[in-house]
Amino acid sequence: MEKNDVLQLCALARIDLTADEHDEFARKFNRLLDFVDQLLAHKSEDRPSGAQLVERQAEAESLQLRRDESRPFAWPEGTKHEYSVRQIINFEGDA
Amino acid sequence: MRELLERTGEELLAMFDAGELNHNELQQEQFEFAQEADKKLNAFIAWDEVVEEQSWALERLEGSPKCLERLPYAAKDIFCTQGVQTTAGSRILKDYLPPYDATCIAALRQAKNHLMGKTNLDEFAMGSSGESSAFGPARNPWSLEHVPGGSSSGSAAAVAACQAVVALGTDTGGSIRQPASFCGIVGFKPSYGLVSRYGMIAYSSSCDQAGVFARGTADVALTMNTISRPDPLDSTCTAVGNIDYYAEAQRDVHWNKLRVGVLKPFMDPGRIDASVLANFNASIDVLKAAGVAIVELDFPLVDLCLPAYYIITAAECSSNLARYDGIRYGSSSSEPDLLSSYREVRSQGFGAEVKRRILLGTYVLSAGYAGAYYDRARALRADIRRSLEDMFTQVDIIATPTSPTLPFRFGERSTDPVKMYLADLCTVFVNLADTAGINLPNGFGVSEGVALPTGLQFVSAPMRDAMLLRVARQYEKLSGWQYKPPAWISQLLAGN
Repeated sequence: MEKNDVLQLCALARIDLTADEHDEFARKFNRLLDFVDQLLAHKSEDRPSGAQLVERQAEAESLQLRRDESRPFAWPEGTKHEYSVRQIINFEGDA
Repeated sequence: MRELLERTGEELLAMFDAGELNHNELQQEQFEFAQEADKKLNAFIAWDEVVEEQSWALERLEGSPKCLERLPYAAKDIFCTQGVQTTAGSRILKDYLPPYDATCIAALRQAKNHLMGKTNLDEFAMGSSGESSAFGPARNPWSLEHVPGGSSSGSAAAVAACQAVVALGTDTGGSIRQPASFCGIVGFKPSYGLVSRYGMIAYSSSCDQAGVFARGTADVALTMNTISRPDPLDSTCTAVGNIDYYAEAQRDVHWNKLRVGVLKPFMDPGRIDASVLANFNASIDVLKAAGVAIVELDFPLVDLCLPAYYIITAAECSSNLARYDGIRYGSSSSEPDLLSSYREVRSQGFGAEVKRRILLGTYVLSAGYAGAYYDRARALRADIRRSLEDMFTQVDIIATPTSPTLPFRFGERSTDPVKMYLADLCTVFVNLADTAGINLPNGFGVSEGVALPTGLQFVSAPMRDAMLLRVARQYEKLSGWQYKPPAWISQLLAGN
């Protein structure tokens, strides 16, 4: 990995490396990249991508999917919100 | 009194019930012994010095199961504990005092268990040896020159050295099972969602899971009865709260009806050390002799599990650790502008391994690389899950060695991160598939004249934890295993 690429990554992650750290990091980081690159040769059966997966599963199981369009939710007029955090954990699940 | 500290929680509870043991005396003795043994082990980072007389009366509902209660325990220093220092093994959280308890800690406190202290760990649970702790490494009670495994290094060492009856740990890729194997004790990683993660400092949210170290499976089951509860504060917590793990663990197993799968890649001498493999084969022979059907299974994705795991966890850690900026958490900076302040605090606060993983995560999530790395790793994770689902149609339990090697010496692997990552070869697939796994000690191997523990891992399908504990408990009986501490600990307990 080029020095500039490392510096750019560090800027994104808000981390500075000293000159000594930089050399050691570049060596170990390249070793890590070689290691994770093994994955690039693998072809998965499918790619999880949210809705597409749900549709595929539904198709396979002959489920009916909703076809209506979603609308943004609006609280009923006059709703008052209570945002205080309860201090006692209720293990029965109805906190 | 001291010799009682070798006993299991199950035995001590029976003594409480029979009126043969006083809780306060036990607590005091345990606390003093833990501090004495820790001069050599460095298993603890912080002590909860409050050892006070208290009412031990517990309000039990009729029919409530047997739980871990009124016993001294330790917790990995990654669980938030109200008023007790919580550092995650990092300089960036030095002196952080959480204003609340993690749900697991609250549940144990409610059952009047006494938290003695917080145990050492690899910084933010990133490591397999305990060497990346900002507070110096914990040592393996079986040999002080060898690592205790990681990342829950202190919890494993503390239970093995009888410094606590049980200890809480977390397991993201093997961080309970691998150190349990290295220290010769039982280590249980429940299915994802079975124990609340609320109050557990996050490393990789989709893989992190709290679990238990103990000197016997019965104590694991007792602890699960206490900590596995529904929790509205963790939306991923799917615990139902009405399973009696302890009662399940007492039930017999019809060995001739059990099917155990062994993964062919983990029978390969090219991957697994000879002494580990020899003990694993001996354990399988015990099962065969009892009538268990052993099924050999292929696992072609085995070599891709570690790369996929390190991509997913690095990506999640780069996001989770973004909060440590000196504003909300961590020491503050004298830099005049905000960006320089962030960079100073993070550069000085994080250790080398944490920085490496944050930067790897930033890299695999950056534009142009996310598709090649992160999406591919997620897709592979789905493939691994499917592969295991197929296996669990053929077998009830999968058995593997827990670690491919014996415990290694300090510094032996720290120059090469990939060599270190290979320590998790046999454990990461369990986290990627959200299943449950348990380490059971299965003997010793000799390395350079030193006898070091080995471990057997049982894995069940997701949410079949009760069945897994039952098989593990009955296997302990079948193999005749009972925990015996290292000789120097026994001598210390005897007052020599």
